[in-house]
Amino acid sequence: MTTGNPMNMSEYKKNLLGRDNCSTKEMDETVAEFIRRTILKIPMNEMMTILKAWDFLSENQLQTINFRQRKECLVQDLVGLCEEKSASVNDAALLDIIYTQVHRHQKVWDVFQMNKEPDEDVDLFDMEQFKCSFKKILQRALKNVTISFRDAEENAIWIRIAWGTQCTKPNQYKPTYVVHYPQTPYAFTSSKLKSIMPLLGQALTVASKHHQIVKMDLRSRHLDSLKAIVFKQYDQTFENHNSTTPLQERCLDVNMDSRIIHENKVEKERVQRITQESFGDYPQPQLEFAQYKLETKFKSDLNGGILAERKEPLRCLIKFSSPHLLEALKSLAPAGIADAPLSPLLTCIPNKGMNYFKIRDK
Amino acid sequence: MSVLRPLDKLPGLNTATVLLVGSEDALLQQLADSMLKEDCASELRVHLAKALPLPSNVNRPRIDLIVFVINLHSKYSLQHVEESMHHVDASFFLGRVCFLGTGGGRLSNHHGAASGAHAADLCWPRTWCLSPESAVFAEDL
Repeated sequence: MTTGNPMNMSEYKKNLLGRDNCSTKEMDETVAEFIRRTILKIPMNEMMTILKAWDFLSENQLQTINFRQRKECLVQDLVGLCEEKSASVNDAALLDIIYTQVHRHQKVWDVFQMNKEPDEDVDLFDMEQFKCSFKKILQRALKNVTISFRDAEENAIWIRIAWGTQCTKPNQYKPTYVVHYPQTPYAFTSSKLKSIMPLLGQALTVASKHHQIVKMDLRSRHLDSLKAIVFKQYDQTFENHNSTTPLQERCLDVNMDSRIIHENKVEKERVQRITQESFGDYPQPQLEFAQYKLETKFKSDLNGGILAERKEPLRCLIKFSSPHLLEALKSLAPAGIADAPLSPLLTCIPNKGMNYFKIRDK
Repeated sequence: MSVLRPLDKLPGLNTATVLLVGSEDALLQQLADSMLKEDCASELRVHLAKALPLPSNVNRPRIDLIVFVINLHSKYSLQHVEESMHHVDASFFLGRVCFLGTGGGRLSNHHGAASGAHAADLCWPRTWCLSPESAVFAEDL
């Protein structure tokens, strides 16, 4: 029997069971729609990998599907299979986590840092206890919330939360993701909802046995770069031949023509050296912007004037954007677009773990 | 104050030396490479400098042509050229200096006070805007 569309399947099942009402084992229409939309997002070349990672549909079931048909039809067939197995909202949520783990750059990640009391003992991290505690805190506060966990590489735990209220079901289309590295005080969150932050912070802090949680002034789409910055792993050179030759040698190799003479070789070498000191020899972590908020009272040598009497400070916002901000900054002085050394406000970004700055009068 | 003078040295035999002055090294390098690809009646050498004055401890041939390269998007590069011009003797400007503006094709007008306004104000005698594949001024030498 070929897989029909989901409606036929549920009708067939209803007749089989001889019941008028939907049995509790049947898949909810909203879950079906959620699964359908999630699978639709997956690019065709990733479909098999993600479905296998999900491990909800068996090898046998997947073999009955024609993966060469048009995507809409393929998705319908897959949803049909999920119907057969009565996928729950938790199964669907797991698929959503896997999709997001592969496409993590589609979210913007904030970074939070927790700390313990100075005299608190370092407890051994118990994963089950963490999950249990986290769930309890959220479920006590909001009756309707979908919480899913998935372990990931390097001991990380990914948490997906779909938020509801006391009376409404959770909205599966606006979930919050949290990535936490146990034994470290860091958590990365992606959330468009500001209102849930205090509760989420509390759940994280208590479940991981910390005392306090603070939002860092660091934000990016590149989760791995954020991780490299907070764990101070960005200054490790990778094992490829490009990074083993020092910067100077590589640049001078290009200019082999002896008919071209650089008059300012000394200056050029000084710039290369300073750039290497500020940025190192390794690939920079990837950030998309740096933002500087300046607040200052007007200062002038002249006496009086309207601006000098102004009590409120003047405000100014400067934002640098780039597909790869730190590499772009690194190339400014060698390209002759800026003087070396660059302002420490620019070069301190990975070191301080900040890309949002507030500059005020002292 | 060291100043470049056009006739303070004897010319090299069958050689031509062009000095490119500009703050953006990659642009100068690109221009130099293109120039050297062209056929030249004399043996061509190209010197690249970020600004003038040139380092004084170097033995260099007589400079036959100075090209000031200005990036029309960068006030910084214009500033460098303006400051460098003080170190060039007035007589050099009689046929041995030219100004090259780059980036003209991409001038956009939504970034506030662009240095494009300065470029339009340039009333210097030999202001040419050339595409990156500019012809060599070998004929002038």
